[in-house]
Amino acid sequence: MRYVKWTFLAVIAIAIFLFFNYTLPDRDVVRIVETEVRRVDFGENSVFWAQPDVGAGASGGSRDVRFINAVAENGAIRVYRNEDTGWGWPPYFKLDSSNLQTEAADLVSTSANPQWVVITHYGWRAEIFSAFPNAVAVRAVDTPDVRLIPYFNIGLIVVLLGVVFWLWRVWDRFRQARIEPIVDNITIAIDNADERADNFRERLLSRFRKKK
Amino acid sequence: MIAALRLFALLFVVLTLIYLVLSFLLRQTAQREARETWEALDTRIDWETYLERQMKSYNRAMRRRLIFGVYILPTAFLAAIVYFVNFA
Repeated sequence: MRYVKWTFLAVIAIAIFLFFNYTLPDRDVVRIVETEVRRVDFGENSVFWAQPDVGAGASGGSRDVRFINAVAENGAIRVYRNEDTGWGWPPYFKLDSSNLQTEAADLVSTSANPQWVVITHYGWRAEIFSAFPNAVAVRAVDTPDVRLIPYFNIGLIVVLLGVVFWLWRVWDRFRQARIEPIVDNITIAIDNADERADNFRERLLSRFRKKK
Repeated sequence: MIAALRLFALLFVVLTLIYLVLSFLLRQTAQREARETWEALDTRIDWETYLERQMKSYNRAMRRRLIFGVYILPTAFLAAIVYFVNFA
C-alpha cells in the first residue's frame, strides 16, 4: 500500500515539474540562420501550438506560422516558432510576434561572421510531435559566453513555494482545531468497544474453563 | 477584444474569490490574536465589546490593504508583463 501512495505522489511531482519546465521562460544563446513562414496543419500535436495573431480570426485546422531557425554555439540546431499567445495561456501576453520576427530577421548572420543572440522562449522542442518552443524575445549579445541567471524563474518559484507553505499552515491549523478532536473521539470510541468485546470474550472463556 | 474581455472577466471572478477567502482567513487570525491579548490583559471589559472595538479599526485597515494587494497588485503585474514582453 505504501508503494501506491509514493508512486501517486511521485507522479504528481513529476507532472508539476513538467508543467513548470514547459511554461517558464528559458534562454538560449544562438546564431540565427534564417526566419521563415510555414504553413502548419494541426493534428494531434495542436496542444503544442498557440493562438493565431491577436485580433485575427479563428484559424481552423491550419495556419501560417512564423519560424526562427537558429544554431547554438556547439552546433546544435534550435528551431523556434514565433506565435502570439494573445490573452490566452501561457500568460506571456505576447502580442508583437511580427515585430519579433523583424528583430530576428535583422540579426541573421553567417557562421563566418556570427552575430550571437539570446532568445527567450518557452516550450519544448519535441521532434516526435513536431513541437517547437515559442520565442518570446530576442536580444543581441557580443559573445556567446554570457552568464544568464534566471531571476524571474527563481523569484516566481520562491513566491509560489511561500504560498504553498502558507496554505499548508492554514490547513494544518484547521485540521488541529476541528478534525483531530473528532478523530480522537472516534479512536476512543473504538478502543472502548474493543475493551468491552475483550471483556465479554474473557467472561465466556472463563466459564468454559471452570466447567473443565 | 473579446478574448481580452473574457480574460478580465475570469480574472475578476478569480480575484474576488481570493479576496473573500483571504479576508475570512485573516479575520480569523485577527480574532484569535485579539482573544489571546484579551485573556492576557484580564480587564473588566467583556469579550464582545473588546472584540467589536478591535475589529472596527482592523476591518478598515485590512480592507484597504486587501483591495490593493488582491486587485491592484496582480493587475499591475499583468500590465508589467505586457510592457516587458511587447514594448521593451
